[in-house]
Amino acid sequence: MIQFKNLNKDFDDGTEALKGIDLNLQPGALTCIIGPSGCGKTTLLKHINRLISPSEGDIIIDGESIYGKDVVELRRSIGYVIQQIGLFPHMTIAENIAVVPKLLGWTKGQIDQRVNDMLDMVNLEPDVFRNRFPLELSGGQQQRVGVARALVGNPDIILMDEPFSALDPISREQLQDQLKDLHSQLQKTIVFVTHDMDEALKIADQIVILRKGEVEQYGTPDEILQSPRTEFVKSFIGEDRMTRYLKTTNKTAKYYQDWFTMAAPSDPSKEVQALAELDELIHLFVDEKFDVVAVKENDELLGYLTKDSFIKALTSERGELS
Amino acid sequence: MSWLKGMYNGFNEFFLTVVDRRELIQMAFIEHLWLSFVSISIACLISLPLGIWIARAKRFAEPMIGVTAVLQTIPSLALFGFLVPLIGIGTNTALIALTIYALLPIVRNTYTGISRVSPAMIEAASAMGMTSRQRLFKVEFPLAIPFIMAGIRTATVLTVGVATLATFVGAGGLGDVIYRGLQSYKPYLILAGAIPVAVLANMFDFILKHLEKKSTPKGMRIK
Ligand SMILES: Nc1ncnc2c1ncn2[C@@H]1O[C@H](COP(=O)(O)OP(=O)(O)O)[C@@H](O)[C@H]1O
Ligand SMILES: [Mg+2]
Repeated sequence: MIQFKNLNKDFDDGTEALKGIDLNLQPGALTCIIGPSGCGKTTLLKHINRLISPSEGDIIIDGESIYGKDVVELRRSIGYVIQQIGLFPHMTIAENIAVVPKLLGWTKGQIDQRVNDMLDMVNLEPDVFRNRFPLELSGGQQQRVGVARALVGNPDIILMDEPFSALDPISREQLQDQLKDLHSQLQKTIVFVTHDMDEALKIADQIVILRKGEVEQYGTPDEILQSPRTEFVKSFIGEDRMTRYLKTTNKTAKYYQDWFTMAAPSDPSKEVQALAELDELIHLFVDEKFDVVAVKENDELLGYLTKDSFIKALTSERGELS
Repeated sequence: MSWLKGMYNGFNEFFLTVVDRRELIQMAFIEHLWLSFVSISIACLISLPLGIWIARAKRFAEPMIGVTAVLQTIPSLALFGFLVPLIGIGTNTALIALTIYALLPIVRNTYTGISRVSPAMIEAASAMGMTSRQRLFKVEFPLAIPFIMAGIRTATVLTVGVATLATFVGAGGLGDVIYRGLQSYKPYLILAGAIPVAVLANMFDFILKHLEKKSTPKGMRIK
């Protein structure tokens, strides 16, 4: 859906920020762009909404070059969330979220309804937050508003530049989880810049590793963890992360026995074998949307594993390891 | 107790002068108010767009502010003097001189107010698809209002003071009263012109300070 074609950017001072980027980002995927500071992540991202113009090359969205489109229209069809949040301090939360709808000429009724929906979506009580001002909110709450503001016009694409990196660790984890939920609900194409590998591994469908303005590797988190293509990628991921990853992939349903419950669920549930791997469990819970599975070993019921307790198990593991 | 009596006599004399010359003083007061008001209004009409423009076209900012600053450093009496051969005497000359004086504080504060809006805010506004104009009116200008108001206040207080010189180009104002007092060695008449100037300046300062607070967007008054 978003295609970069031989994209080059030389800044006026001679900095070669991007060198021949050729990439095809998948529609509906959450793609993380990751790399060390100064490698060109922000520059690449800002090309997509034309905040920066390339020295050479093209970007194609849905088969059309973005340089043939009206820049204002292009930007209104792309949500944008930045690390500094950038809420307007003189506007209330509702007014901040309503900026794009107003620009698009929606009616007041439509706008009010939509603003409430957006606040609900990012878990901020509309009645409490609508009329507050940005400076009255915590950083985490402000960035939720930032996300709501980016989503309000129902854009197909959302760009996020290190949106959570200035937040405290707890807010960051919460917002990452909520972003993942939102993404699976809405199926938007999200391009997410980060310098934090754990964040990328946690939320990404696809990862682009950048180094000095060039793509070092592009693939799913699994692909990158299992077969890092260069020494740079290997060292960027780090040995401990790779081994930790291998450990978790060898886990089976039975491994989570401590989290089983014997209380039979009201709905008939899916059966899995005790040796079913983590991937299969994730597939059942996330893609197939089962709320509970029955784990069996040689026809004997070991117990039921609910989605909630499975997620808790995974979260507590992550907590122990990191 | 003679100093007390002296003071009493002083007040008495001052009071008698004011009563005696009330028509002159009243008219001078109104003229003064009018001169100040008109020149500040014209200065705003020129300075606001100018300040906004140089905040956009940064390479013109230094020279423009430089020019207004130089104008400001011309001694006020000299400026009135320069203008007479060019425009002659009269109200217009006074208005032009006063307007020139009021430019700098407003231009500079408009420029600073708009320039200091954070890049993150500008980026967010642009990325939402605001045109440059929408960004100016919806984001940059509202955020700059407290600064702009402070500039207008400085300019106003300054103008009210300088307007006493309007008398030298025959434009009237409270300077007339002071000048007559000087000419006829009547210190109480000088006071009768000077005190209203001070009162007027402080009154404007007070009112505009209040307006400044009120016009600061509510969300920015927090903390
Ligand atoms: N406006 C600019 N002018 C000159 N150089 C720039 C500009 N913006 C970024 N750069 C340079 O381009 C490179 C990439 O920057 P950036 O994309 O911001 O990196 P990242 O987001 O990965 O940390 C850096 O070397 C940076 O110094
Ligand atoms: Mg960056």
